Amino acid sequence: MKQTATSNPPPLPLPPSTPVLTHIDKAARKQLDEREKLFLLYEHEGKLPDLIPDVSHLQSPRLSTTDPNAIDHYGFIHEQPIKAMTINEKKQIQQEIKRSERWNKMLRKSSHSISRDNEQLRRRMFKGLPSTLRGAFWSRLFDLDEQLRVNKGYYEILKRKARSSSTYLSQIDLDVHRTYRNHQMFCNRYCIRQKHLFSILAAYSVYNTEIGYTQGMNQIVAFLLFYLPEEEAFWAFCQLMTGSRWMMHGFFCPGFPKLFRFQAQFEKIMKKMLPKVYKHFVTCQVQSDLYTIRWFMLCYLDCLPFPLTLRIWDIFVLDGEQVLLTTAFCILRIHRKKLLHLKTFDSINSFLKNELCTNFANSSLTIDEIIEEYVVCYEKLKQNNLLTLPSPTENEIPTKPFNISMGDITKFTDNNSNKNANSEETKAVISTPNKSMTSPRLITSQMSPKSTPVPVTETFLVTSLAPLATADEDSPSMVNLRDTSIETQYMEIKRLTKPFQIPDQQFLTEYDSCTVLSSADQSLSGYRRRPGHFGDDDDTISSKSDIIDDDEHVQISHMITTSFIHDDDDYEKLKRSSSFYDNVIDNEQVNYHYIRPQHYAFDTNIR
Amino acid sequence: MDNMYSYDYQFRLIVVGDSTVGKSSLLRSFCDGVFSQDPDPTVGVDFNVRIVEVKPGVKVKLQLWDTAGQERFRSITRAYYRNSVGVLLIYDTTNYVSFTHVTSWLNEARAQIQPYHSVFLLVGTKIDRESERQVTTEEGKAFADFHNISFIETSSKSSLYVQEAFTMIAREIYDMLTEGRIHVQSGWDGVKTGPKSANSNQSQPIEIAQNVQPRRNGCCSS
Repeated sequence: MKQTATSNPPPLPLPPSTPVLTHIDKAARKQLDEREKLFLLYEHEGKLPDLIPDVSHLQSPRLSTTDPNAIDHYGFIHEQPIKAMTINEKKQIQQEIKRSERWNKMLRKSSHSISRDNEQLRRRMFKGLPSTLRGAFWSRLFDLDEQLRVNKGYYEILKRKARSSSTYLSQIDLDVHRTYRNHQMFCNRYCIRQKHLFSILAAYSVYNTEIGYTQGMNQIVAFLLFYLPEEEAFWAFCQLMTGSRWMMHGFFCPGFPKLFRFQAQFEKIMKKMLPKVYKHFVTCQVQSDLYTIRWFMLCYLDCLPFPLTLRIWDIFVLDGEQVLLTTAFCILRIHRKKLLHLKTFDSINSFLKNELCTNFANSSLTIDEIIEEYVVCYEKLKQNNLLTLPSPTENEIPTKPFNISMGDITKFTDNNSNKNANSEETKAVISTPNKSMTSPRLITSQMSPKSTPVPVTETFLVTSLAPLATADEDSPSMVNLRDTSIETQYMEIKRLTKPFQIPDQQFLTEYDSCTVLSSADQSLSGYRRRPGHFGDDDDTISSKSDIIDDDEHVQISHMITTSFIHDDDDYEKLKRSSSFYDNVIDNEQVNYHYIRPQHYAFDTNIR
Repeated sequence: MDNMYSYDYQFRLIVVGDSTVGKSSLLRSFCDGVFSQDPDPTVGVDFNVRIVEVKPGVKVKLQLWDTAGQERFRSITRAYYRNSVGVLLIYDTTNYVSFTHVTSWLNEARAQIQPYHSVFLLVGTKIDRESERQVTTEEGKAFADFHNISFIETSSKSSLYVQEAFTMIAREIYDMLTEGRIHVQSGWDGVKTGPKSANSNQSQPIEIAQNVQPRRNGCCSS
């Protein structure tokens, strides 16, 4: 990398558009190593002396955790021992304990799901969930039991997939490093909760490829992890992002369409319900889009005192997206007098940014009173018909299928539900065009009923579009998939491939649309056969050597991620192979070489 | 708070650069005088204020806009360039990639700020981690020279040259203002006149060492 710097002026950096493949390749290779390294670091709590010479400076806890008096009721570590609780706080906690029994009873009564219309539940939710039971009730409100059942095993697959192909890992790692480091769950670098946070974000980045990873998601997931175990937190997060009640997808997908829609609606609310404040803000040039970004995207995390945030979140989990608007209105309404007294742009912004966070700007209201005010605000907005938003624009809703199997895609697009079918029954082999071959060309996955233990499904790359393009012998000549969108490519591949049957076993063809990548040249491919096993015809890359050099890797044109069958031994083998070249593994069983997925020019992090 | 109401000019500056190069830390170090080890990632935009003295008796309020570094937030942060008179281009001296991306930040800022004039300052951060340095001072300087902008290296952790960086860009803007190359214009918030007539009260400017020559590495903008 650095050598580029030594050239004469104009020195550097290279213009982003310059297609210097060697650079891309180096970056890509570095990224592979980085990916593996990151996962290993989290798996070994950061102790990998042979891999990373010095991570000691990263590992020290950010704050001393030795003093238990410095940890508050919610697990946050303060720099100084915290003051004794106020009477109000004590009361609150005592009441919480008292209520826990009733909550418990309710939990026992409703073994799996809870109806949101249950008046008793609603009343109690507004009074606040006891911390100890928050996870249990959120889990029911997110319908996690069902999610876990339907998606059994899928989270593990996603994690592995992320390990081999996510392009967001380094950004995620950077952000995990600075998420809630003042909380006892996340204060130690590479601790178990940081690992969970990292895994969830990584898995989500390959699950919802329209978003991948956007900053802000880290905080929401970390917050869910305060109350839910890893896998539950993942599916709860999925619900938040694409469940129709919350649909936060539009807040995080590129372009942030939902954010803008909500901000516009909030302007309307202010204009109508708080005209004085609105005018005052206009005079001071305070635009709501500045402070509402955090309010809406993070649902008030870190924008309000934590106990209040929790209560807002309880209502948010119960009622969904409108809570964001109602709370914003509620905050300004409560503080309207103070706000009118602040005369400058700076002071208003500082009030909304800093002072709200500390003790709700010294409001004399207790949390219960604030929530009562919230209910009033809600009624007002409802009466004025201000919670009926313009319908979402198309790009607010995920359009690409999630990382699911072919059969499920139709289901998904048909009802557009967020119940993403899982791939637990995915079985797939991508066909070989030449049916005389005894084994499938391009690999794949699981469900061989006979094999025990149950094989693990893993996603790996195999390459080369050429066999796919000819898979359908009736199809016209090779389709040029270059320069088309990923969706088009996907549809094209779907059209060209047919389910392929292998005697004795049932298989379906499966492709993963989202990882169909294309790059420079379709005629080249990184897939090579093992010499002597197959003829010399068609699609293989021309190299005679078994070593894939840099250039060839750059030339890998079309890559398709697919699943294939392997057992734990293979996986171990793969895990152990740390260098790029070692990853070309010969799987005796199916006579294949395969290489790890690479994202070359498509990596958004490489410009 | 009082001194917030007394200043001669207000300059609006925007701080851009890759994720985790230390934009928020630099601003916190400058505005609050504290070093925060790992601040939360900035979501969207953030906002800070501080008053500096560009020459004896002339106080300037700096309105500092902190932006999210992640690429996709550009669709939000883009709107904040237009009203900025100064741009701090931040890179991390321990991360070469962040340096290679400075060009694209520079280009984007230039494109968005047109037709208004603006002043750029290239800032390398984290020089306290000398052993991990990947971008040499010379490289930074050469880049700044090539693009005809000022350059400084800082450490927010040990607050090295943090003050100087902001004073440097504020002075440069002030000079251009007095030379008539930048104007106060209605409909543009980059530069505004302050609400007070000069020195009407004894409000304390934030202490800036007078006559300290900031390390003007490679500044060739004069």
